[in-house]
Amino acid sequence: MSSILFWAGWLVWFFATAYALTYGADVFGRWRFENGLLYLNWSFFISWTILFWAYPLGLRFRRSAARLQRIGRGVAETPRRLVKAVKTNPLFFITWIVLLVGWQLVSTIAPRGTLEHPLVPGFEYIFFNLEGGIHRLAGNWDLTGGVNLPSVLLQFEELAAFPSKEGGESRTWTAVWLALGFHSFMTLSRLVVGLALGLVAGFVTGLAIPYWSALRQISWAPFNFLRMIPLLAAIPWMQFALGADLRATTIFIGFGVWVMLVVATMNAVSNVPDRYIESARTLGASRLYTYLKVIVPGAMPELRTALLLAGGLGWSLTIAAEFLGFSTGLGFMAAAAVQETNTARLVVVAIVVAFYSLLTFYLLNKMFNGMVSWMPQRSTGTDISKVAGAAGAARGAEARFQE
Amino acid sequence: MSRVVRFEGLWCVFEHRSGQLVNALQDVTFDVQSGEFVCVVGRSGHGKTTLLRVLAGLQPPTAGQARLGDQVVEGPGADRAMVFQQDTVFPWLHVRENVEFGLRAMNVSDKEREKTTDRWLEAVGLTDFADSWPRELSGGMRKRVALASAMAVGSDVILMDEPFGSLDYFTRRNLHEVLLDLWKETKKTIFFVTHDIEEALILADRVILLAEGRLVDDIPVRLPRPRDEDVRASAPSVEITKTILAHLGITEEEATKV
Repeated sequence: MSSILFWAGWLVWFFATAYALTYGADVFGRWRFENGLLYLNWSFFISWTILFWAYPLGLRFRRSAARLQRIGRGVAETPRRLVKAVKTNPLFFITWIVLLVGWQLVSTIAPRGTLEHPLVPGFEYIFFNLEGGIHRLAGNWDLTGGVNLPSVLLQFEELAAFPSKEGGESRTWTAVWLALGFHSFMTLSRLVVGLALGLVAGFVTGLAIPYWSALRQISWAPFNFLRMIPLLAAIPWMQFALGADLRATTIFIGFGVWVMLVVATMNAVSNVPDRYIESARTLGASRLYTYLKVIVPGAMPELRTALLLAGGLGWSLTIAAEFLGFSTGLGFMAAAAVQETNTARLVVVAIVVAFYSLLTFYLLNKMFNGMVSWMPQRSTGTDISKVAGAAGAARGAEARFQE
Repeated sequence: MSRVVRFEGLWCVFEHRSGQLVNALQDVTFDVQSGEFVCVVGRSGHGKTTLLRVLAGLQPPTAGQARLGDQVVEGPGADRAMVFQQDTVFPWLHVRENVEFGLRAMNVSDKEREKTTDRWLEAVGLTDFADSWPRELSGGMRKRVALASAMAVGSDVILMDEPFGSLDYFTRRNLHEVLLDLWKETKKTIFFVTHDIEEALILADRVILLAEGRLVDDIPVRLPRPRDEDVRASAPSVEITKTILAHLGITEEEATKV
């Protein structure tokens, strides 16, 4: 109970502090709401952030301090862990080094191609060439020209005034970071909202449908049919029908994730071992009680794969939607790079997206592990040495047999 | 002693995938008295488990009926809790939550639920493991959890479907003792399916013999308890074993040969 009060209190605090700040002195920040856009300045954002975190620190000081300490310790231990990781799993790191060095080598060998930028841009080109590489991303930080951004809910006024160029031609690093930050924010907000919507709706529908066998029979075919529709090809249709704003992408991503999860969840439900259900029934549990307390938790382990696939699907839908019809987001950055046939910029965007997807997988997996702490804990990777050992033994036996 | 269970002209017919009909139970009729320990013995595939599942309400009969008291069995219920052959302890619940599963399902008050759960955890010797996850227990301990869960719902009849079949000899013997103690203490009617004649002789008041779905014999086991090695080596015990083997179509020579 107290925990619910705490979280609800935090939510109230979040809005109450924003309200209080508007009536406070200007030093603490200003904001205004115009044409559906929320304009904030930096001092408002900073004051608000400080107040936001003051809540848990004030009310649960010991717990928050312990958490901070844990994070701090984790950061401090990173180098030691890294060394240990290199020692225990050197192949992982060697693979990366080979890939990176290989790319650089290929960039020197590969023909330049007919494009404005090299087909395989080397790292020196990507990061240090002012005309070609990452610096061109500064062009994506272009909020000064009064671009019409209907999907931007939030704008930092002071930031918008920040120039994307300095002295006319050269691109500034600040603008590069601002561009990456801003477009990441746009993409992530679309993804998070769409994914959350799709996940919740998918689990709820997928768990609800099998409860009524008639509903299960009716919905099986349509859902499997829907799943087969190539969603990426439906993007233009989505933009005609829904428009190209946050609401539309959210619905689109949510829909894709929903369809996939409903099918996966229904599968998971039908794979719960009969013995658990029969046991519950002979212990006097009603059908509904059995469903909620046995079938739902029993279906959880199988949902891990579905959850991770949903994360991947969410990413590809978001990026593809942005690529085709948006003027913000990482997908748009990629589209802009393609328009200029700027391979180096494309590489940077690809790396950023890959990083975020990995992070999404990590978080989803972590969230899931929290939900199924009762499961026998597996070590993170397949122990390949065992398999290799078994294969080696088999080969040895075979060799002996042939002798 | 009053009658608690009655099977009346029970038939169970299954259709094989090939379209062939299989008579799992053929016209089975008998009564079980209150407080009896009945073992149903037979070869595998000869209808023992089907009989138990009909009584549990998990398998509707093709003809005839199973009665519990005056009630015709029409579905599963807590008045006949069941211990299964497979591991049915819910892995997502702690040991304590497993034992109180039935009580929660029936909305028993918190205080009473706690009292009952504690009692049965103690009875099967798992008090110290109340807050463990099932994955942390051995197979024998998980069987104890299943036993406690079935006992806790408070039914007068307990159904057991080869519950100790997958356990090693020593664990099985140990659980026989636990079960007999609980039976003596609670006077519950226990309906126990097994293919193991020795197990039946250790446990039962009465052995029901099934062969090809028919009830072929109903043998009272009037041996003194505890049924230790000496008792089971005594002449009356050996006589019962011989009778059972003969009914199952196995002569003693054949049994030793197999």
